[in-house]
Amino acid sequence: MEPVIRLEDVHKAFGRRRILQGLSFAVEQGKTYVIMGGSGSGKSVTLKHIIGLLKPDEGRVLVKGQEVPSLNREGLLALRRKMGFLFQSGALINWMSVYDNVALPLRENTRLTETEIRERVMECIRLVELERAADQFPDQISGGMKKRAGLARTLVGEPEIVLYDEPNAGLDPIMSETINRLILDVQERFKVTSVVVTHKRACAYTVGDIIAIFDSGRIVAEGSPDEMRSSDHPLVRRFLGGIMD
Amino acid sequence: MGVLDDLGSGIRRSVTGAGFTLELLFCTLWRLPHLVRKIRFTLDQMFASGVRTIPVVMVVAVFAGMILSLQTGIELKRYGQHTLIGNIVAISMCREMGPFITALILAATVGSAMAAELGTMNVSEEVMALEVMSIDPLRFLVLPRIVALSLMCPLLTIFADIIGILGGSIVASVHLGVSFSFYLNSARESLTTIGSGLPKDVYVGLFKAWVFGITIAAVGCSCGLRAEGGAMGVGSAVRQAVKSSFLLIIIFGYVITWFFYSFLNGAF
Repeated sequence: MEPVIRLEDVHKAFGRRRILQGLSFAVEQGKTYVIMGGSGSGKSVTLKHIIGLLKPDEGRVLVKGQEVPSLNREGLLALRRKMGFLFQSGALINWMSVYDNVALPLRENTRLTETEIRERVMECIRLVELERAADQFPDQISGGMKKRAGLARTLVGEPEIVLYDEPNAGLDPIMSETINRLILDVQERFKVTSVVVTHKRACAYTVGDIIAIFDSGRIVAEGSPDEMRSSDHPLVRRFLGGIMD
Repeated sequence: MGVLDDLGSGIRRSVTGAGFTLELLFCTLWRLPHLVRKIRFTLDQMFASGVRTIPVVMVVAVFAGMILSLQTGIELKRYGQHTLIGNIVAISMCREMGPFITALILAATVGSAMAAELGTMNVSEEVMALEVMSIDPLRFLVLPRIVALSLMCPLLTIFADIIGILGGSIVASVHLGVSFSFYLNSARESLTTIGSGLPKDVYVGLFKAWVFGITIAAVGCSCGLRAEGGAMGVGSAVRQAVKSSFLLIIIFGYVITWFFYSFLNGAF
């Protein structure tokens, strides 16, 4: 079966700084692929290549069999409608309430009535347990709530692929666990294909079907959580060994 | 070499910025048919950029009219020509000062706010979030702002013209001994005797205001969308937006005046 996401020998540099150097990996339908690695190793850049925000200098990026860098604007917009992206900060529109933020993709991209939109939005808001904060604005809610609201907005368009950029960054352990549980819930309920970029080993072990370790712009180790637990690779030990955070 | 390098990179930055702004403007105008779905947001922007600016426009316009009336009136009185003050204030306000002061106020308040809003959205990944949601940032953010300011700038200019002329009448009456009714009659005559229909001084002034409104919004949005590097980047975008808007208002003001009063009249 053709992987939903496939990167082949991807290279990317910003000026003289080479970020990705021959990156290759594939994600199967319905699986969660976790990417771990040091800061500046190119994890977020990889996600931006998958969703077409960046183009590779060399190599291929395929999503659902389509070459993302060679898609025209309409093709890219159509592909993005099947994808969701959870930003590290949540990236909620500051002057809109949580409800309006979640409703935004439906209002802009569909011809649903306000009643139908309300039904879908409230379903997603209930899923992330933010019913009480629906009328609040982003600057009135905590970091964890922003991420949950961002996740609700990501899910409201019923994506087939979800990309998570550091979903637990800056959160306390309890909120971090809540986010991990939500990612698992989303996986089970919607059967989405996911790529998760994280620093947290608890997140990697909880949500990942495959865990990959990034270094110098390429993957140096990859395997199931059990395989990674028993790996002797020094970088795997550094990122995944020791006590759970 | 260092000075030449700095000069070269400065010129390259300016040309890149101008190119980005022009492209942004044309791409946004291409999206005008989508305005129907953005009426509510456009009205919000019109309220924020227009209605909220009325008090400051009112104060500046009334004092501009008073200063113009006083400075010109004192000189005219020496030659016994101070009865012309109504004509002079009316023509100056409608032709030049009304659109000019309105545009400067809008550039400093609304244009800078647009650069700050969009700049903050850009550095906090909100603009990128719109793109990944397949929402066109030009249609969603820029189009309503440009349309709102292109409508509000001429409307505020009409308001500034009227208030400025009335401000001039106070000085004419108190300091120059020209009665209110005489002043208003001469102001009205000076604006209605030239040609038929809408007087040239008024429609050229309003055309200027329309161009200024589009310019301020396009420059503000362009600087905001190019902001990078956190709070410092947003600050720099705001500064750049105000600076560029002021320069373009003066340059476009001259070009429009030259076109209507010199080129079209065959004087140049």
